Amino acid sequence: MLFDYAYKGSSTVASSSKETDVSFVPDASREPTYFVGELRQKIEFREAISALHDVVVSDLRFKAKDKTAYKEWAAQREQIDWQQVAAQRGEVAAKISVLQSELTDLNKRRSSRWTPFYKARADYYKFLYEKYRDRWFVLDPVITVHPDEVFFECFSEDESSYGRLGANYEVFDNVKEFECGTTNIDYSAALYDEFQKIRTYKRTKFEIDPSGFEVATTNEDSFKEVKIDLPDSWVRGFLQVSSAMSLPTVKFDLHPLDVYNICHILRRKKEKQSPRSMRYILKPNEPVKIILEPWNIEIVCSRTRFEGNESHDIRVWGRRRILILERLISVAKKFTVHLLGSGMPSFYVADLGDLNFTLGLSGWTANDWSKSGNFDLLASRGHVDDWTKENVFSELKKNWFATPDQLSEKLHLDRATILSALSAYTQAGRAIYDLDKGVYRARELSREPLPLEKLRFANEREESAMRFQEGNLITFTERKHLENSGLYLAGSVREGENYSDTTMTIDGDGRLVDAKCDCYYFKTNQLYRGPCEHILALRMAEQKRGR
Amino acid sequence: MLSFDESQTEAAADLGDALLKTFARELRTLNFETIENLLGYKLLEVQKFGGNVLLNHETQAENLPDALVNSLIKSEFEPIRNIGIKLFGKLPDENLFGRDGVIAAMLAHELADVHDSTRPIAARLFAANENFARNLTNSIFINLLREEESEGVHERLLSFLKELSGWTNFADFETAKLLVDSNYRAANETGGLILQSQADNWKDDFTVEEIVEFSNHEILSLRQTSWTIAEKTVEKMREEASYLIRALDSKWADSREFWREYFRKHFTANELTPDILIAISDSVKDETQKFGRDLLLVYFEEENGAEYLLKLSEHPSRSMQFFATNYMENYATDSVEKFEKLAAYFVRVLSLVNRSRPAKDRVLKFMETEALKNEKIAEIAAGILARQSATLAIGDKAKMIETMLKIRRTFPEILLPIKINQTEVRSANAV
Repeated sequence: MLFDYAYKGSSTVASSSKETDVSFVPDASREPTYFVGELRQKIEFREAISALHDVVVSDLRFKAKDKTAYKEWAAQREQIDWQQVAAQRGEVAAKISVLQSELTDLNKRRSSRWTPFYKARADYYKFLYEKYRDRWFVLDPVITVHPDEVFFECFSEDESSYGRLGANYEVFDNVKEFECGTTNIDYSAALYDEFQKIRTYKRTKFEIDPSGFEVATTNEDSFKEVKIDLPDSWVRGFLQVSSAMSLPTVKFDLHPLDVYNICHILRRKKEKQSPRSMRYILKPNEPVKIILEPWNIEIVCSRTRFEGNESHDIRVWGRRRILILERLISVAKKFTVHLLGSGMPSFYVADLGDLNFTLGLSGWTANDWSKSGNFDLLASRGHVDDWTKENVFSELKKNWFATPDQLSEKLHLDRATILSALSAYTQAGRAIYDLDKGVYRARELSREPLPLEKLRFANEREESAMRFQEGNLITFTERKHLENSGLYLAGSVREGENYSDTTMTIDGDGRLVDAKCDCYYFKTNQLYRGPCEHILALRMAEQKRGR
Repeated sequence: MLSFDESQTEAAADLGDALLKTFARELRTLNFETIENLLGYKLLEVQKFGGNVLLNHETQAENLPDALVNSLIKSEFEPIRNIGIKLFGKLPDENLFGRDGVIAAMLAHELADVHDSTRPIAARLFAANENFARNLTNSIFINLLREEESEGVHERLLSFLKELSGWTNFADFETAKLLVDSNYRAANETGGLILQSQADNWKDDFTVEEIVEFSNHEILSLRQTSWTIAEKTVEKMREEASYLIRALDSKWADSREFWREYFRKHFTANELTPDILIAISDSVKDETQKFGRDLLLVYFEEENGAEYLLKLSEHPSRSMQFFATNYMENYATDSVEKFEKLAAYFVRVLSLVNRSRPAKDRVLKFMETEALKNEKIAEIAAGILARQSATLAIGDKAKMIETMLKIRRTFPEILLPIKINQTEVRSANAV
């Protein structure tokens, strides 16, 4: 999916010994959106925007270790060992030792000759990395100015973490001018370094530069055109995580030191085997308990109580992403956790006074097929006609933000209709639910509306699997728990006259590790191109059953 | 020769060589019609023969029809183009001096061989006539500012310029700026070379912002320009020290190295005020931080100690946070106000997960010593300890509980999240 932006120049942070000027350049091709003010809560802002940067560059996908150097070394060793064996035979020993020393000498000379080359090559790679560092990022952050707060949103490179930094107007002094709306801002890695120079004793100007809009029509040459081709899966991930925010959640507070303790354990230990989940054990009126698997380390959050009425045991994965919150521990007053259920997205809202930071985590770090078909966050929730939907949205846009109750009062519609309409806009990336304040906000993710139908499913097989599930065409024939906390499932999927017999194994971390089906697709491709629609359907049915 | 076909290329080449050797004199007067026929023939070897006949022809180059020479230069075969350019070079200098545009176009030709064959002619003319030199250089600048027709054109032009002497004198300030601001690397480098050689004349025309920008530039010649100019305008640099510190954070190691040396050599306590020293240490680059710390030690003045401590304590890097602990014991003791200002710093250090052990130890020790001296300080410390003592890090937790106990004993009214259990006393005869 192609996104086009036009920036007038680049965003800059200019700091001297007395002041820091943060100037973001907005996309001039969108509705004018700008803001000019002076930052008051500087250190909190610095830490929060650094955490947001950590979200942008976060990539925890599994990367195989490069073992070439080791293999080369091992091969060399093998050679030497053989030579040693030969040497023991006596007569050739002397000869070999001479040759050996000659070879060592040659090797030494060779390596000393190559050293400058290797060094130059390493320097060159480093240069390329520095120069084109911004190409590593996927999408520039989105910034929204609303009458009560300014907020930044971004989504990580590995398509799994969502960050939102909201700043009340209390954070700023001398707010001179602003225009509400949403825009993309030009962002580069160099800005991060400059953010680190924000200090309380330096005057810090903060602006979303309005000048780009003034000249947008007169001098088009001075604009930097940026075209970004985003993977559909990335956009889908963004929409999934942000629309998950509007679902009902289990909510509780954590003390900053509880987050410290989670990070403390994650920093000290490395999980080498499954399961790698984090379990939240919630019991009414009792302290929240967190169990980190596979070590089963228990953290009792004795300073907070769970205030819900029901007990829950919720497992979440991809917990290393919580380390993004590390910088916020010292400035946060508390963290509010919102959980949707096991394997579902989770949200951590840091309360930094007049700033708030939301970290949204998808169910798993890796967005690959082993987790596909787990849930469909982009499924429509309740039917509302287009006219009502538009009505609700235009009412929301009048004030930029509103609670469902306020909207229902104004439009004389029942709350459920309002919620369905709003969730449709949330799924389309045109509105967002603010977990911190409990309001819906109008926020157009892109200039042109996103093609939601195209984005809803990763491929045709997912779409047909959903059809099987909706038509109740799946029958389970066997399900048993395995010793290693995994699950074995067998079932059949009816497709017209035909039945496809399907089996699958899901491991303790909820990953599909093995599957079989007697359909043509599976026979041709096995699992090399991802699971077939019947496997996906069985998986979805299991997920639904679990819920 | 005009009856050879593609299968007889070797024979054509041999015959051509033989004819040139044996009938050199006769060929000098060969009529133009025949030569044109040879040059127009399909075989390269025949064309080459025609070209060589033309090269040795008694007719002076200036008397050859222009169209003929041009058609040779435009030939699709490299040897023929070479012959064409050689013929062109044989024109009298007076004639060529007026053709700077054509020569510049040939130097900027997309084919490397055209450039290479033109180069000696251009270099000879450049040395011979100043007017020609000026015009040619300016034409080359214009070519460098344009997008190159094929890869390598800019590089060739630049390497040609580098071979000449005195070419930088022909550029004016505006042209040099245009070259520097251009999107093409070769143009940037050319601009840098000009600015460097003209530094004496133009040194006052640059702002500190530009100097900093140059020292950040990926083109070495521009970085060198910034260094040259800085050495010539020390006074101005001193006045603008608060901006110039950005140069210490340059992307390039050689620039950073230069500026550190520059600051050491030219700056004194007059310019290196606490503000500037702290701003240098505020850098995110380790080496610049270290440089800042070194300068701080050299220019340290007792009366500014507290200011250093408070400002450095806001630094996000661990090494600077640790460095700040050095000042704690000397400049923040017995002061409620300073302790209060440092409270956020203490929380920041204590909230670092699994790192900065030495800084944490020093902070905890300092908090304890100060808290026991003054009730107001004890209150602030109690707040921090109450927050941080929920840690799982056993060493920190023990130390914090110990401090809280001591505070409780000294100032029993202060609220703390601890409950002292009485030790159970068992009687000696209990069963």
